[in-house]
Amino acid sequence: MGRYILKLIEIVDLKKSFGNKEVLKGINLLIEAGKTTVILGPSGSGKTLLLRHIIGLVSPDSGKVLLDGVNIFDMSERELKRVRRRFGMVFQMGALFDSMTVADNVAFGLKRFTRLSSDEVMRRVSSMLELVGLSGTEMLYPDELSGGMKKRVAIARALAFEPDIVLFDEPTTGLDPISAANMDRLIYDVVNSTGVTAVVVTHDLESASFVADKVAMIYEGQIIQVGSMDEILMSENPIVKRFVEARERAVADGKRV
Amino acid sequence: MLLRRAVSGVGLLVVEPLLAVGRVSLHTASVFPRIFSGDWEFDELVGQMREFGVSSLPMILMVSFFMGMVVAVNTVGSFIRFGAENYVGGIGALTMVRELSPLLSGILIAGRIGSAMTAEIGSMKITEQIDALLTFGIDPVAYIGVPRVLAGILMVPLLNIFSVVMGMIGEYVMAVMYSGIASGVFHASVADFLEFKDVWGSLIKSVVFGFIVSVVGCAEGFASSGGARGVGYRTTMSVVVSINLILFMDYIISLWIWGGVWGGIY
Repeated sequence: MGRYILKLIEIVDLKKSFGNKEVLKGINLLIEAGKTTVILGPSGSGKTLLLRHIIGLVSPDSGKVLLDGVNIFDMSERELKRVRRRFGMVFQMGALFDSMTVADNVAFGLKRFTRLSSDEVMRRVSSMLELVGLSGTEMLYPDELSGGMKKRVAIARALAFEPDIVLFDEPTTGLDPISAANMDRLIYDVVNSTGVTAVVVTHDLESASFVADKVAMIYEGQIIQVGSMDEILMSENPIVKRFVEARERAVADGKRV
Repeated sequence: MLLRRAVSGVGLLVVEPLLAVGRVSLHTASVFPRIFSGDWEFDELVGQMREFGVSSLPMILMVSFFMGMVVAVNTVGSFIRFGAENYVGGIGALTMVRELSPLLSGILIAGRIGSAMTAEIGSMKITEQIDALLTFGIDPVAYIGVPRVLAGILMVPLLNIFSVVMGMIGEYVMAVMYSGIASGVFHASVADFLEFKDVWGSLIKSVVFGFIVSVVGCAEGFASSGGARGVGYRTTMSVVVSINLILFMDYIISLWIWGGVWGGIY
């Protein structure tokens, strides 16, 4: 098809406050195509809010999100709508449309943004569900699925219409250790098999080390370190160190954090 | 301290409904242009029409039947005493057509559909389904709001017509079959009293009420925040605001059409 694919997301000096509380204090970050960038940080550090800015769900007080050089906050409503279709987003709790079956959820983007026939749509839905290990759930409704299954359907839905970029919001939160490990493997596999650019927001070091090409550590609304997972683990930065050590202690106690 | 709480309580009583009316006005302004946006689906409109119409019909029929019987019971005794039994049918018809049927269908729909609409949209909001629509590049107000508002405008007048018919049957049962007013007299008086503008007026009322219920239901739903409690609060507000607006508009439209104010319609 030779369609245009997004190459670069630049986040420039992004600031956002709610009342007196400054949640994002000038975020700068580069997200490159074809790689998995993990935004890692403790709860309440502003990582989900940052993710919501990338897709324009929230407007910042100041700063830019540049998609190949174009600021999404300067776009008209129409352009923003078009640009959002280059993204797939996997919400923390899945955010499946609960009035629709699993198949209709996965087909949601396909039916609207592609010219596939309904047979082709159904074939694609089946293959996406197979990819996330949920074949045969087509006719179920979201409330018949477990939390982990909902998240997997959400991944199928986000990837079904082949977006350039997929955003994952806390994919392993609320899952048991085995499901969380499976989720990491699933993300790793789908990202590698589809070549999609992924941005994963998590507080889960285990998960980050499994899927990340690049890690941005966020703390109290600021990016305090960017690098490979190894660089994060070896970091001399006292806050990063504390975060890493807390996890090592928990692992020693036999817990996953 | 107590005084301060009392004052702020009264203040809230005034401010909250005003805020709600503000939201509803904004929502009204944003829904209409989106009818032509192509972001909503015909299937959804059909589903909502079914929700408004088919599933509410049994309740409307039953309530209207009883209401018609009550109107007859209340009028027949007094009218016979004054020798005015010839007017029972006509008065009953005017009551149902001009006032009771549109009001009943509007208020019942506000309680049954408006509240459910707010709860549904509110829980979509707090479970990020509205955000999910946005990430698909779909305008939630168009996708969710437009079919519901159109369904309200189309279906409440239909329910109103059914309500009138059923109400008249109720009146007939009580006046003719129970109280012994001659069937021919009943029919003649209905034909005498009812004018064409009564029918129009009734339909105009129910279109407006259908619009109020659906726009308020959506506006309150989209305004939901703060978890299950927030959705519950919005659901209550949706019914309260709808019913108040319905009664207010009922008065205004009655003044216009039958009160001779602003020229009326003929």
